[in-house]
Amino acid sequence: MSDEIRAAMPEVSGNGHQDVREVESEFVRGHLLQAYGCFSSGHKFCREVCPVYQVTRNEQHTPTAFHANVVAMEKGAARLEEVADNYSYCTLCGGCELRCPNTLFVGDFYRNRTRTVKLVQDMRAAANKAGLGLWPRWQRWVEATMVGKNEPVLDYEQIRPVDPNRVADWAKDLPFEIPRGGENILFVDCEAAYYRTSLPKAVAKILHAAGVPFGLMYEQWCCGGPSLEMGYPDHARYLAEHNVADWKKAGAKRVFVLDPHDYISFVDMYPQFFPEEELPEFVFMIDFVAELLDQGKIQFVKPIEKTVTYHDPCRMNKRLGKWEAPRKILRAIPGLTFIDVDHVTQWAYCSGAGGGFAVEHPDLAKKIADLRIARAKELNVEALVSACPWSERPLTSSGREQQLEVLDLLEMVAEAMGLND
Amino acid sequence: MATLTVPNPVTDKAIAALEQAIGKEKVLTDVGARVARTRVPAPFPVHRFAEHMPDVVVLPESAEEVSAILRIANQYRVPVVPRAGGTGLADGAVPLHKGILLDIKKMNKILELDLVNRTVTVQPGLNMLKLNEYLAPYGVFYPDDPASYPVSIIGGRIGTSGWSLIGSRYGHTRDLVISLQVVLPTGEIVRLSDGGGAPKVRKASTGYNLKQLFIGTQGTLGVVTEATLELFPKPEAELAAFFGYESFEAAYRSTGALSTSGLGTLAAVILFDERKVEYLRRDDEAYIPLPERIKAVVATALYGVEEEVRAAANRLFKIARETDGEYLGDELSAGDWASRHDRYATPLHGRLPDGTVVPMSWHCEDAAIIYSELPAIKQKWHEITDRYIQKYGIFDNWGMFFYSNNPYKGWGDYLVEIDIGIWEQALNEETWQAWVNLKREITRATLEHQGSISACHGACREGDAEFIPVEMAEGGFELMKRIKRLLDPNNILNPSKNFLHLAYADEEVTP
Amino acid sequence: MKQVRKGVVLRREDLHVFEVDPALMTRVPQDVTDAEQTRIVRNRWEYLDWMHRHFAHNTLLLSAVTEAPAHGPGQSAH
Ligand SMILES: Cc1cc2nc3c(=O)[nH]c(=O)nc-3n(C[C@H](O)[C@H](O)[C@H](O)COP(=O)(O)OP(=O)(O)OC[C@H]3O[C@@H](n4cnc5c(N)ncnc54)[C@H](O)[C@@H]3O)c2cc1C
Ligand code: SF4
Ligand code: SF4
Repeated sequence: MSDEIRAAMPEVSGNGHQDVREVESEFVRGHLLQAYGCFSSGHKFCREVCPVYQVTRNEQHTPTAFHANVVAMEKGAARLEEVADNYSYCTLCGGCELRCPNTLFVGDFYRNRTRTVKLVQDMRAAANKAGLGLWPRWQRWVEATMVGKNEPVLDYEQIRPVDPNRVADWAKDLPFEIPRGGENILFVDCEAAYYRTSLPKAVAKILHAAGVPFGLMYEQWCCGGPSLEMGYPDHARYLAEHNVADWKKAGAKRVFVLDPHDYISFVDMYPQFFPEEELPEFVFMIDFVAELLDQGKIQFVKPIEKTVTYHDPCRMNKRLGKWEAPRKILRAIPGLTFIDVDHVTQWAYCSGAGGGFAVEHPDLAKKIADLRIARAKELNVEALVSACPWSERPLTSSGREQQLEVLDLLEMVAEAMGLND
Repeated sequence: MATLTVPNPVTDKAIAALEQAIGKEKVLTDVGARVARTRVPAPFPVHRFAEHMPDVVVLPESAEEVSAILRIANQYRVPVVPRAGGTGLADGAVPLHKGILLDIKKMNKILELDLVNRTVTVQPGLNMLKLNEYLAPYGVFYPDDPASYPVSIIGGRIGTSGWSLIGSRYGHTRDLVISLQVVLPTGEIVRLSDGGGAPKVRKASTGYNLKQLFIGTQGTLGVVTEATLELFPKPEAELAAFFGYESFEAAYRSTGALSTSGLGTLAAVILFDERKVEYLRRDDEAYIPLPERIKAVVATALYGVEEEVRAAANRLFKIARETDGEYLGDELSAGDWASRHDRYATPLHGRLPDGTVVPMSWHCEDAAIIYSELPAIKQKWHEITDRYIQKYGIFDNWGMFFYSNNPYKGWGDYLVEIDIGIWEQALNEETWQAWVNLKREITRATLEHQGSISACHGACREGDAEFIPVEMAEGGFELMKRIKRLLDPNNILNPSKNFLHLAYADEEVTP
Repeated sequence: MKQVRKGVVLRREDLHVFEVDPALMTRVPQDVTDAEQTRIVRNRWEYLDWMHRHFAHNTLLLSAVTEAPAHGPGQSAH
């Protein structure tokens, strides 16, 4: 950590280190029963859907191994510090835990299911708590986030913080003003606010054109999800607390969310930190656009003459079961030829961008993105449409190499509504 | 006595040689790599976890690399255990003496698709579902369909001589493999087909039928590095029909009538006994509402050209009705059938004697038994299992299935399965030994009824392996030992599996 | 919550999904929410349909091909 960053770091608990044996026994105690739930099955139905395994073909990067390690630790056959690094080989896409028969076939009957995502996150947190120092790039990423209050998305090399005062700069050259505060808040994810600024602009135009009043936060911070995913739950909470306070001050009743990663933080992580009644309603923009379309509040007037296929963002499809709205929108765009790959096949697809994977393992993440683009190429389409800004950067770069265009669904909606003219 | 109780450890020198031969990044010694390849889904002596961890894991990508690994193993006299999907239910891929674990999953390339001659040639690390996703646009299909279809892989299918759910229509693994490339224990690379050496010829009388010799050897005779496989047209139509019966006897008779119907599209006949139905009524959504009068079930499935399937369905329905079968409805039939391609074995099926749910691991007995003996074996196996449940309280009886077991026909012998839950968290040496004894009693019953110990998983672990010399007493086991020694003079490949340490009993041969 | 048979209850009429009697779940936590339960059930049916399509171009049902009844004993349309 540079001195500059250190000086600017806020006080957040969870930076201190605990004895690794203590951390291990606490971890094993907390996860043993669920670990046996997998270890005693050991059937590995999860394996071929796992995007990381698909590019490493290494059995130690699988949910089966993640669970077996816990039993091995209990039996003294492994130590936490010997196996912890394996848990960095995961994009937290959730494909495995849905595909697992313990979820898919009987999760409803027993109301107990496989929770690999949680296991991986908890192991990352445990390793950090024990001060193992396994993942310097994640550490730097989270520290830079604490300073920049948003993720350091403009500098993957050095991982330098962004300027928190520029989080709403994307809105500057819009033809209309967006107020601060209000009942409807648009939350613009870090990647979109600083890097893919065309996306929040498109969303603002859509809402404006549909006559939906909305404002921005007084001071928007990172949702905190990535900090949790990289094993820094206290930092995640620190960021989350700020956002909840900001919404309260704004009088927010509804928060429009344009990014799947933010959305899952809000509906999955925030309820673990705050009572439900303190939280606003979270509306995923794609769902909202589908609704507006249904109600006739927006119209597609401009054809987009292209043949495309669609990439299901992992968190939407695999972790939240949302796959219908984007398909509905694509089918409604005039001129568009939509070649669908069903969402079940896509349990095995991923862009490699999630769960901090691309920060710590950029080479493997690139292989995952390359594979996703290659699969789209086989369909003889002109473009791959995604609905997740995090996926769009690696996919665009792999797409450039393989000559395939990558588009954002909400940006296409703005285009089809004629809002770019 | 076995000479292989204390194998040579894999030394740093051997590891350095492996690294030099195939590259550092494909030789793994870290604990995570080794833990991940310690067990398969069969019951595991978890209290002795570390005993089964390999010393080193290698991830070769070609036959030449496999060959180099085996030569090094011979030089240093250390064991090599091939591992494919690691889903085997008889411990074939579990290291008994640590050593080198040879993981073939990186060898997953599709080498040639020949649509004219209807073959596909692949490396052995590929999974069947993935292969069929690749084949789908061409309208062809590789029909090896175990209940581990989405996860087991071709090398392991060959290593075990697997059984396919739709094998009565399409054949089983051994019928679907046209030719093989194999690396022998001493490192030579050979190509073998059915009675000859031409890679795409399905039947020849030129030489010995060496292909079959290398199918079902559990990695004790060689490592398969390439396979040429049979392609079928993707089925136009599928139809599954499940029938209920008021007694096991009625269902058993109906099974006989259905499986001898002569219907060419009949892919499977599966008989569920009373205990299986009772168990499914306990926690399978589809079966919970079945009235108590339904005591046994017969499942059937048809695959083929649509006109054929429609005609066969009428005949099937007629036979089932005439033998007192009651159709269980479209939803149950289609839904249950679709789930059989990855038949879920989930640990929460486990119940302690007081009815409470605990995660249990799964034992899947898989003897091959002729039709006439099925009622008797059912009675014996349940009697044995229930006795152990009563005494130890950590097992659970999940009932029995009887599956048609022969290629291209429904009749003959059946894959007889009793599913038993084992509460692993409670295992210690005493209860583990109890489990092995249970297993032994089941195996003895199989042999008493002219059965074979294993239809598809293999007989490589305790409780099975020691009975191979009994089942193959008329010279068969002697021949196996001679072949093993001839091909593997230093006992390198998967030592002690199938009781084959006896091949070296009269001289000191150690790894 | 309706007792369906020994060890099985029906809690959610809306989804018509059976559940293990919670009295038997003293050793294993039950933490799947209703929303998740709905998601699992939907995904299961989607997955089974996917498997049918994977194995054959066309899935035929016995009731459509013969005079067999569509619903079996104890089962009703839901
Ligand atoms: C839920 C479930 C359902 C199952 N249903 C069925 C079923 O319906 N039918 C059935 O047959 N089995 C079934 N099985 C068992 C298992 O899937 C099969 O035995 C399968 O063939 C094993 O394949 P694998 O790739 O997992 O092999 P592994 O378990 O890794 O290996 C199996 C054996 O093959 C050897 N081997 C591996 N690769 C090679 C190679 N390249 N050359 C030589 N030897 C090699 C290994 O040493 C080992 O002895 C089921 C298992 C599960 C968990
Ligand atoms: S996560 Fe599920 S599918 Fe994968 S090995 Fe564990 S229990 Fe089996
Ligand atoms: S969450 Fe995704 S990346 Fe992680 S283990 Fe599961 S399938 Fe693999």
